[in-house]
Amino acid sequence: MFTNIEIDIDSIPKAEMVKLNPISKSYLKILYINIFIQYSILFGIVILAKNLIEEDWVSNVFWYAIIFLFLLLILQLVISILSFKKRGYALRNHDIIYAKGLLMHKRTTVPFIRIQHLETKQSFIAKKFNLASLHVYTAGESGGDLSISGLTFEEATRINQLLTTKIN
Amino acid sequence: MYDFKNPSRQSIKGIAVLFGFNSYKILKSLFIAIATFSYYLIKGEKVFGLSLYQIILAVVIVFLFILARSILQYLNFKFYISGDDFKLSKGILNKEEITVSKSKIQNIYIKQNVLQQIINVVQLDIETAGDAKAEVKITALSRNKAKALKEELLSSVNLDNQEETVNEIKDEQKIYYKASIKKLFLEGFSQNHIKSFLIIAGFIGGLYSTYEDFMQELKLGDKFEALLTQNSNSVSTLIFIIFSFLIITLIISILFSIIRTFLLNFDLQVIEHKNTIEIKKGLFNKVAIILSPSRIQNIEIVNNRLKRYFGLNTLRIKQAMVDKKLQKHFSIIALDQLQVNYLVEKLMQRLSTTSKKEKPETYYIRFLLLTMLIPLVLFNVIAFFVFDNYFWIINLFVVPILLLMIYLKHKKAYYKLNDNILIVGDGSISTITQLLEIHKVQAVATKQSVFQKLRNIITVEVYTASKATKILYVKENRANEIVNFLLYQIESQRKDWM
Repeated sequence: MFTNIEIDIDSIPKAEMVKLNPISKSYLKILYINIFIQYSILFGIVILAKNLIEEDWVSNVFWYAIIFLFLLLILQLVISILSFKKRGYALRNHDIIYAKGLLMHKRTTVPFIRIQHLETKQSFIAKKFNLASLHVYTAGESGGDLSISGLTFEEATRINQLLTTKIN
Repeated sequence: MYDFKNPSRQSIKGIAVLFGFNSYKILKSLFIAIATFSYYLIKGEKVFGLSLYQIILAVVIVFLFILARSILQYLNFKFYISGDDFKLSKGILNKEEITVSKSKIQNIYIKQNVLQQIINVVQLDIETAGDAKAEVKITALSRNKAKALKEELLSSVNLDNQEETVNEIKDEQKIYYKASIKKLFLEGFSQNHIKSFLIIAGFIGGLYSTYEDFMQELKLGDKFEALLTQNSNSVSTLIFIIFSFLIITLIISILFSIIRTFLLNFDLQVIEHKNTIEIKKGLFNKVAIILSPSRIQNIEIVNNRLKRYFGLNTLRIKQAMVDKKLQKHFSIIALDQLQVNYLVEKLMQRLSTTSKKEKPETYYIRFLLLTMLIPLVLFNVIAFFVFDNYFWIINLFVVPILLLMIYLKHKKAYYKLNDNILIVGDGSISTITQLLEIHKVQAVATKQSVFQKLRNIITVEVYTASKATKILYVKENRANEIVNFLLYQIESQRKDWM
């Protein structure tokens, strides 16, 4: 017989109570390396500019530019460290949750029945640290997709397999 | 009847269509070269030391080349149906074989542009799941053959589609709504004319940058300057010039809005089938679109104060897996309130008003004020240094308008949630009502900035396959309730989203 009982809001499982699993600590190293590469290029450009362009205003601005870049570097490092703690994921019986972001914290939940396909990716650097990222795609391009970076390779493949069985 | 088992080509007229398309492509890519060419020709100078005779010869050679290419394209373009697959081979040097399984076909469009209308052929686009753009385009078929092919392709394994299309053919087609000339005119008149102005301005700007040299040659600027200096002694003349310039711009913008509305929506018809709704419209570019409830993701109802007075609502429909170019045609204009309700019920479900309207927190106003203040202050500081002191007077106009916009934006923002449907209000000058069915939600997210965190306020984003809908600035515990409720509905009902 078909029944349609009113839903008690309080009895619905609470997604906000779920404790998120932190991602692997070594991912922080990858973040450092990325920042290091970025800023070496930026510093490199400034220093090159100083040596190649022999005009007064360049050398006047040079130290300001260096100090500015240095402050930016420190700011980005601080933000990366703090926001690292904000990253986390969790699996429930019917969905997957992923949260990230310090200044703008976003927490996305994708129900398993809406997953279109899954992908495990490993960049060149991530391979050295035995890390991988898991991408969860839903239909359409409106932005409901997840990409969880900084999982250990074993973790990523395990979740991938688990989700694959859940989808089918 | 037509036999699709054996490979067949397009209609022989296809050469003309291909020729048209190819010429258009080449003309477009050579636009700047042609512009400079014509410029030198008008000035009567030789271009690259070529005589007129040589230029004509070059043009003839280019067109002969295009013609040859079109004929080869035509000869190499063959399609047929084998079993459950539609097969297409094309390409002159780079051969391409495309196989589309009938069951994967999502939609088949028959359309006609100006050229195709003149030589009386239609274009058939086949769209498949998984990709946003139409993969197969047959540019020239006779109307009967196109219809036969469409039927043949849809009459197959795909039960859902079969049901829809077979019904459509046998169904007596009922025209539900036809937009009258008067309604189209009113709709054009009550459009956002600022948008029209920007389109015109962009167009003129683009033309100007291409023909810059030519324009300078005409010395328009000097003449205008002369006109201004002649009359600069009287301020009233200057005001008169500015004023008439504004009026002329406004009139041109309004005319443009009206013409644009007519071109896009000429002979707008909404045809009711058993399970689907068909839209036909367009003057030069005729489009026919089938809306099927199972594939519709979001619906938006748009109007403004003036349009409500005339009884003009626009229904924008967002369907999954639709070519981006085609998506903008998925709208029906000039509907009255009853027609809107009827169509929404037909395409989605009955618009019930049982659940109550909930508003964003008042902190939203403060956020809007702050985001307004930063550019305003910046603008004023720059203006202070660049222009003279009296420039701040412009704030007397700008600030009240911005405040009004903020007031309206907060006033029009709300959300309603019940068991099956989410309704979100939005808009400042226009009023937008966004509807989506809960079983079509793909994912749910909450977003919180550091400032929102201090006040326990959060924004909920609800994603469907076509669009992200935002429920702005709700209290944290209410946001969690919404998220949990949506997830519970999706996961416990386990309904298909398409």
